[in-house]
Amino acid sequence: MVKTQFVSIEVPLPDSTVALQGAIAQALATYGTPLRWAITSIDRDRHIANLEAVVTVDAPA
Amino acid sequence: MPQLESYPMSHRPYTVMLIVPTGVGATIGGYAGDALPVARAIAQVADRVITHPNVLNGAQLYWPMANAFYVEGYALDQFAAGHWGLRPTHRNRIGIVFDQAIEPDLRLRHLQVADAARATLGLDLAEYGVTDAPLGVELRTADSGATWGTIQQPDSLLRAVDALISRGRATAIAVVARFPDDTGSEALQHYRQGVGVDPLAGAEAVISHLIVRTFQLPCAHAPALLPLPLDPTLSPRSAAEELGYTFLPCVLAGLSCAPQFVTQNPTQPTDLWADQVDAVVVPDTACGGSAVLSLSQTPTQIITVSENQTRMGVTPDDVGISAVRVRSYLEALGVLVTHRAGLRSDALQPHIAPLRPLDKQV
Repeated sequence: MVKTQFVSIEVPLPDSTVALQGAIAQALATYGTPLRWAITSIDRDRHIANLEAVVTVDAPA
Repeated sequence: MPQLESYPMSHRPYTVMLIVPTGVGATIGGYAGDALPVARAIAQVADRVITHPNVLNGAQLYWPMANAFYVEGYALDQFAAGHWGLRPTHRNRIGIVFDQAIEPDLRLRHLQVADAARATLGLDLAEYGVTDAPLGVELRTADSGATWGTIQQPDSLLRAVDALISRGRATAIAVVARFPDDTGSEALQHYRQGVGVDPLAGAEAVISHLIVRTFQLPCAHAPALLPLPLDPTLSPRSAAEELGYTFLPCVLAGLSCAPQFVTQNPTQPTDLWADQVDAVVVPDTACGGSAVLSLSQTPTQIITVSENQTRMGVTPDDVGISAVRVRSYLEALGVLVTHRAGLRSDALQPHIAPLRPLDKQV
């Protein structure tokens, strides 16, 4: 049974956008399969990207 | 398709992607198809415009453009990442899925709109399907202010879509889900005034993304709602959604010739891939999405528009993206014209810095 789930996480900012996308994919994979995500803000002091996403997870029926 | 003169003659079709993210309160495009004028303007200076349903959908209102590609957001991200291609098509056979939770009268209104699209526009519609359970749409707002949502019975939705594809031979899917009638909510009142964030948009994106990810075919969503009480102070930006009983006409028109998705070989010469996108236009604070980040790693010219404010807070500088940052879409159109013509934009400005020697340390 598929469930949709909202995720709000912080991702450390790497040096390149290629690495950033990889870091986001890796971080979201721990929660489920991404449907939609976006970086909503950047914390320059902490060098963090704030991310909101909706993922799907397989849940027991 | 526009025939613009250029010298030297380029045979590469000038291709622009227009992105206005859904459910983030974009001041232009965050309401009832109110970025459509922007898309129409870009379609005059580009050979091809790739954009997504919420840019082109104005409920009862839409504007067919022969050079526009109507691409759902999940597919747009896959396309920008180079994973999927777009295959132009002359005609799709549209299957409509209705949420079982829709009241009989309201469903009949939608069916009559579908029949009108067949009779008046000549569209090809498959038989319709009804989910085997109420979908249970719930609306949410994230800390950022962006809206999103959940459906309690996604499997029911996917079963209904699967039946329309396998038995109804549908090649595109329109979904009509019953959304909560939250007529007294502050969010809805703000939306009708042309401020705030569309409370439905985020949940709509979740529904269509799920279908596109699962079945890899064109999809768009129209919410089913009871008509709202008259509001004499309604904003023009939101007005298109109060013209009738359904939001379905624009969805059917858009899907009728939306490109199919190419996810595996063999490809065809007319297929379109991310490396053919010359420029992407996006709000200045919405550079944290998948498509923009993907295209930032290509030669695609990124143009950001600061006047289109959103609830997001990610500028090109924040994520290390090289972009031409302008104030308005009118300026963005000028950048597109110069880019297409092979000009540096600063050649049209009074001061041009002298040519510098190559840095010896580079």
